[in-house]
Amino acid sequence: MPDPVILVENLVKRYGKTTAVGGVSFAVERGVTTALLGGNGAGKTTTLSILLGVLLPTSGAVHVFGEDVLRHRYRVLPRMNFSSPYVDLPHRLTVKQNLMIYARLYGVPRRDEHIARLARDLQIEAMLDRPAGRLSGGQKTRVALAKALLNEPELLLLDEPTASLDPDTGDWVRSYLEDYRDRTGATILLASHNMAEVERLCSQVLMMKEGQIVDRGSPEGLIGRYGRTNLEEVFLQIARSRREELEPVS
Amino acid sequence: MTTPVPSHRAMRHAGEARFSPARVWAMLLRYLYILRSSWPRTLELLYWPTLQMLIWGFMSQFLYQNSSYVPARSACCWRR
Repeated sequence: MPDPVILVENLVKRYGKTTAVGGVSFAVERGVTTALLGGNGAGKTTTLSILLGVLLPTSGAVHVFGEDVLRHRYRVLPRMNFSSPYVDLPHRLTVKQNLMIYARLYGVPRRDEHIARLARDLQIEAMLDRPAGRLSGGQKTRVALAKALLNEPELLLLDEPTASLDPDTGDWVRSYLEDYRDRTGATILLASHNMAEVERLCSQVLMMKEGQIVDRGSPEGLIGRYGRTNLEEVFLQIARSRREELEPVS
Repeated sequence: MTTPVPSHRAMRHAGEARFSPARVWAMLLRYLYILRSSWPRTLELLYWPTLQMLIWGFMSQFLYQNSSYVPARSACCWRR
């Protein structure tokens, strides 16, 4: 079996007496799209932040591309990228200036050509000279996606990539992500509340609740196991069940 | 059993990110773009150093011209 792209073992993150992530373990294989699914405060964003090396865990081990992220994150960061609608690009800078700066940070060769191609693909050509702060939610999401794809990452971490988007733009973003994954064989780990999105994009789901993974499997497998008709019903059953009824799954 | 993680200090010392002029230039460019996009920022950047120079310039000139005042007064008090 090939080495997983992401290997997380017994990850714990505590803030004083509050446990944000309480002993999470999982692996993500190459080319697979995996969802971290859970309610607010389940520990999804904290897990993503630790994977990026932005947060230091209290304990546990995180390996990305076989490297220990806690010790050698600079070896893996050029091969990954991140996008979130909650992390804004500098408002005063134009879209092109923002993309140019990130392209330089990632050492992207032939930056102008690359940005022009991404702008064409993501349909943001018309807004390249507009300040990032004056874009609508959907436009910001597409620009954030362009930023995340600048270095053609092998691992893409997405925090609620279609949050606050209208159905049309949301669908367009999902199609683009599917296409990118199929074209490049990239691995995607996304945190989401959108069940339809997870059912469509992901082949593996990690259900989180109160910092623990309480269930995992394919969307179809989970729907079958809980005897439900869709993932939203599974999510609701898990979210509304009491903690003691759910044994953490290792 | 929990696996210990390195401290921030240890991580900084183990820092493998080599110095990259391209990355430094990217960050400089970011601040240049921000300054260029906002004239109040540029004005502020010039205003405060100018104000400081004027205040300290006049202050030092005053002290220089009246430098005999303090020793003269102290000597006067000392004699009493």
